[in-house]
Amino acid sequence: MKTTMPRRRVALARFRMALAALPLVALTALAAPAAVASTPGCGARPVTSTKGASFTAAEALCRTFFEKGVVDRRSFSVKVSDTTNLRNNQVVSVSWSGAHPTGGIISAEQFASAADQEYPVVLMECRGIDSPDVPAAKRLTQKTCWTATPGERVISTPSPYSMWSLDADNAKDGICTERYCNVPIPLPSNCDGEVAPGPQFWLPFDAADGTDYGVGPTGCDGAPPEMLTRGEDPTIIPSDTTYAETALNGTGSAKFTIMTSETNTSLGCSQTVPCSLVIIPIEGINCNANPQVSSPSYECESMGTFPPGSLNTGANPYPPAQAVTGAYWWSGSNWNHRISVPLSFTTPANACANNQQAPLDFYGSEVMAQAAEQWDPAFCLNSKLFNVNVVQLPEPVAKSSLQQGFIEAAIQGEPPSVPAGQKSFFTTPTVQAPIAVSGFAIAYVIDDGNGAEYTQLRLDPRLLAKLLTESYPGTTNVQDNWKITGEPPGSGPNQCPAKCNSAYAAMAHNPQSIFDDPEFLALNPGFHVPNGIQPGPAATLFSILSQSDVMWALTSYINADPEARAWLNGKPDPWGMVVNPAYKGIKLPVESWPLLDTTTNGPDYTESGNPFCVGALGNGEAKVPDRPLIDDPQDTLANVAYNMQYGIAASLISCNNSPLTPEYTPLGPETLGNRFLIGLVSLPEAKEFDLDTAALQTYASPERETDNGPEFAAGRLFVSPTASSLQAAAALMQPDPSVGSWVFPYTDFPGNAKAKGAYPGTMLFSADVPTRGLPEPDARDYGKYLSFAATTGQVQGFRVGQLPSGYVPMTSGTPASRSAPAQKGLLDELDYTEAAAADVEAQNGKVPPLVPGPPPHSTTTTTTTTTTTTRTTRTTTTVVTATTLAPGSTPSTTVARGGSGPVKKKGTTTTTTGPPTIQPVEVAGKTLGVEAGVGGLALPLALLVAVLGGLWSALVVLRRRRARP
Amino acid sequence: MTVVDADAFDLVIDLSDGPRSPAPDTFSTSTPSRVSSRRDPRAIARAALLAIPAALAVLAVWFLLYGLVLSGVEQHVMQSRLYDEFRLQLAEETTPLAEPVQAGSPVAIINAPSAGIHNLIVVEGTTSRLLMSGPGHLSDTPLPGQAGMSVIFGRSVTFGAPFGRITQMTVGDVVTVTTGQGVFRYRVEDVRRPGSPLPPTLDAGGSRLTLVTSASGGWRSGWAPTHTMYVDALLAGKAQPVPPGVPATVSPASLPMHNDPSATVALIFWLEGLVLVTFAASWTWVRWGRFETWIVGAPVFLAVLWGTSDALMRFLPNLL
Repeated sequence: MKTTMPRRRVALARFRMALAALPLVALTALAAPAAVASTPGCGARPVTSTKGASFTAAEALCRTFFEKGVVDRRSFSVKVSDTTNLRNNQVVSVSWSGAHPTGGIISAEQFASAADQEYPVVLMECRGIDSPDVPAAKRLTQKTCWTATPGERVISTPSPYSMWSLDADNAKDGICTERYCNVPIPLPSNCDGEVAPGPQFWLPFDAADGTDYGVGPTGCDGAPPEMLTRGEDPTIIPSDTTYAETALNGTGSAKFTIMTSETNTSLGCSQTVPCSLVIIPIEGINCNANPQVSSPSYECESMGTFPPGSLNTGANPYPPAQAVTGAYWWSGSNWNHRISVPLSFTTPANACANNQQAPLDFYGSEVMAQAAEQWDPAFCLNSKLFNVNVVQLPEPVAKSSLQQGFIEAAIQGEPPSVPAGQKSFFTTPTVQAPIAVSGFAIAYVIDDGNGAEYTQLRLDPRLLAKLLTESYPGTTNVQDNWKITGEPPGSGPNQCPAKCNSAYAAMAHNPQSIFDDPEFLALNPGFHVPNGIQPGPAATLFSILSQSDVMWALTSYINADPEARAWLNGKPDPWGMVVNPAYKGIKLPVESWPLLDTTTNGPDYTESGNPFCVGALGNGEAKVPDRPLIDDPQDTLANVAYNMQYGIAASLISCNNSPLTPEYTPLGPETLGNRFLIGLVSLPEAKEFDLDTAALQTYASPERETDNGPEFAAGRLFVSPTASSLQAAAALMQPDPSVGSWVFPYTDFPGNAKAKGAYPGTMLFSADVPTRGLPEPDARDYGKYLSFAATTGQVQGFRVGQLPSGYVPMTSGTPASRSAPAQKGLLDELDYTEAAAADVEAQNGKVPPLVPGPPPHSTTTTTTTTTTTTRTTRTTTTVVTATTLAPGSTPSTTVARGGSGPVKKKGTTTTTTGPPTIQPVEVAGKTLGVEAGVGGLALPLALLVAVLGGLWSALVVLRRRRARP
Repeated sequence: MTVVDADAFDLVIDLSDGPRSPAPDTFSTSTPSRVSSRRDPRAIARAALLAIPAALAVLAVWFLLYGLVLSGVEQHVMQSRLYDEFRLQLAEETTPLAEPVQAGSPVAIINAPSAGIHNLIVVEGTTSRLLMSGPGHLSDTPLPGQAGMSVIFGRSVTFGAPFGRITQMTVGDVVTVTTGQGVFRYRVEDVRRPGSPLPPTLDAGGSRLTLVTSASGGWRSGWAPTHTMYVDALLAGKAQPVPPGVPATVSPASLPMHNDPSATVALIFWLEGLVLVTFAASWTWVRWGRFETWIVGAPVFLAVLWGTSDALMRFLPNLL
């Protein structure tokens, strides 16, 4: 071998190296086009990805002109926060970047007029699956997309060159490019006088039941019932179709409200009918020609007449360029840029409507509505169980109806006060079984002057008192009235002529609205008042008219604060503001907030300048007290939440301008950028509608400054409603045997350091069910419901039988952290509810003790001391294996309530206190996985042995070879 | 097992010290020519020092090969036989429709294109041995297509890994099951791991199909599963009523991730076979010669080794 010629060897070696290098070259050559292909090209389908419930997508936006090629190209990417387990009216957030900045901005994004912005991003909900592979009946098209008004589906143009005929994509995709598209000839009689001359494009709507509506201008060719047609005011009812604006840097965000068939049957989205959120970033029409017409707005190749970022105030001489407005969302060029986000829905709230059985009724709290929507289908959809219904009724009314025997069960937010001389509020033995922890929130929608929303608000009880007691005048007439009477502000009441109302004098120095209040500004530094703020709606806390335990809780919180109480009794705040004399000394807490201010307008006051509203309501001088009009309390907390969601000021300070029937009307939606509204809502609704909630004061250090200096806010702590702050608050609750339930210690605020992390708006909701006198099947069913609520119903989630967000499971505690001690779950309350379930089912006339003794049924030992260390966090998940759910066989499930922590004695019990049938438990449990154990490692072990054995043998052989002489 | 083999190798080495020239032993590369006495304990120890690890390594490699590749071949053969049998039964309408069904007989054909499952026969029973033929139907659940929750187990690593890719299915994917009662199309509603919420209650008269397999994350995914995974699918259409007779319980060996301890007898049988073959080979090594021993012995040895591995696999979890 050594005699081989070196040259040949060298050549051979070189040849081998070249051969080895060849694959590398080939790979590089292959990789290069792949790298190029990864940047999305014009016309490529969007690249989507989902992570959990959120959805992201990216695509290239391109606008091309015939003979000019691509004139604008952008990379658009969008993210949607929630796309699974959606409920009706749930709000999802959509945020994007890389879009063309919007010009000619119209701030009311959800109204049809906003379609006329240049380069908006259009969000709409459409039915169907966006794929060419599904049959046509199930496919998503422009015709299955929902718009609230017919105007968004009809284009008529006087120009002979209609934009849709100039759209190159329309011809390619088979969309009509004629003069009259989808216009029935002859015109229906309804359309006489509605149709403008010239080319028309009518986009029909295909409803879920198969009906095809031609729609047409003002819906004259048939419109689905949910669409707003002629005569209805489109400014009052917002729709979910949004024309959102993009900022100058290409980013933007919007909130989109999902509608299911519960609200919109024509669109018909539900668990069985797939729907998508369609996001269309408007990039403009791809023109196949550019005829020059006199008015530039009809030029196809216009890039826009408004500079990006400018507002459409009506002052611009040219209207928005049609080629780039949102009105052409359906045209091929824009439609092909759509991103369809598939949506999936959870069990609808009306799932129980089809159950024909007479329901088991609970009467009570609005705050429990969301929980009931998810819990009730676990019962009504199970044929072995029963139909159940939570009827919304103000809690005080429900409690007194129960006391009088008109109803069988109530849900309360606070235990009822026991009348003097009686042992209990109720006439028969009644359990007050805790079933959920939630509460109220102070929601707000406030814009700063720069077009964004405030995300933080701090309120102390005195500010809440000021808002509730109508102590902010809200209008200028109080100060103005001095001019009428000739008295300057600041002169004392002694100089007030007889006409003068002492209330005017007292409140003459009060700030007009909360944003003028120095106390508010001290707690919320950096607050900037936009110029267009409406002072009237900003002078009140929007709340409810009816009795409610929520109002009781709110007023208890206010009453317990020494500063607020002193102020209500007449002591001025550090800046000199005083309480409205009509409310001075008011006794709190109350179940419904009274409207006590009776001061009336001066003769010159009207909001709209129209004398009719003032004149007709009483002899030329309006006699209606105006502050209650500003307050306009609603019927339910849900109405307040709705107004907060859409920024609607409910204050009745606008006039309908009708000479014959003048009426005060709500001010309506406030303009984007100038909104200032604060309202009382329930926490579950705040979570569902994604409302901002205020942080309430929990602690004020005794050493703090109380005068009106700059240090006013120092030493005060404010807490927002979060899961941990609600848990901390729930842990503070103490059992009060005199009322038979747990009470929230409002007196802990603001002085008790233990309450620092506790949210003051927390409320414990309990079910009141008598344990004597109920008929047998109802008693058993109530018992099952209570037992469910205490166990499975406390698992948080979006599925049927689980606890939605806005409630905090009573089963979980929080471990100790550096800033807070460990919180145990509400174990005492849960034990009470389970014992109560047994008593209700047995109808034995007993009520379980609040502080438990030895538990009656459980086979474990529990300590009767109240030390919190013996009970650690305990999760009561029911453990069900997949194999034992066969309905044909008897369920061989064991309900294991696992104990954790050092209390091993609590182990697994196979009995539950309550009904033996466990079907509702099957519905919402967790999957029990089975571990593979050692056997699963068989193959890796084999590999290990192979490698080790091989190495060993090789080493031995090598050693021996080397040792060989 | 390795102890037995090492002894066998020792015997081989001893015999090879006889009149023939010392042949390079494939299982041991020790150098017997240098050893003075043939039964020197040190020589035996030296030989064993090399023979044992080498033997172990080879067997481990064989086991890996068997687990990942050869068992798939075995399953394929079984499936093809079962397919012929089931086809005949479908044509003659003699498929089992009511439980209890004899363990091992085919009950359904399952198809799930999005998980790469094409025309696999589902047998009755879910013990480790039965799942070697393909997916198995859990006996205490109704048959697929009947009302209620029907459960099918499948392996995810070995024996063709029929359910190896079902965890990649997404909501809406179609699983088609053909039984004697018709063709049933199920749509996947969720993929569950331990700790995932259970699916919602089934409506009365509805049918749900749950496919159970094993999976793992990280470095163990694909070959060393740690936990079970479940894929639920809901029937789109009308379910057949469940005839009475569904067993209430199944044997412990049929439960997920359980092995079959009754395989001990089979394992001992195969090990004895292995010993016999090794003895026979070492005899023929001397009598007939190396080459002849190779030709005759290798296939026999492989066959016995295959049988042993087969029995050994029954000691591993049934969803492996």
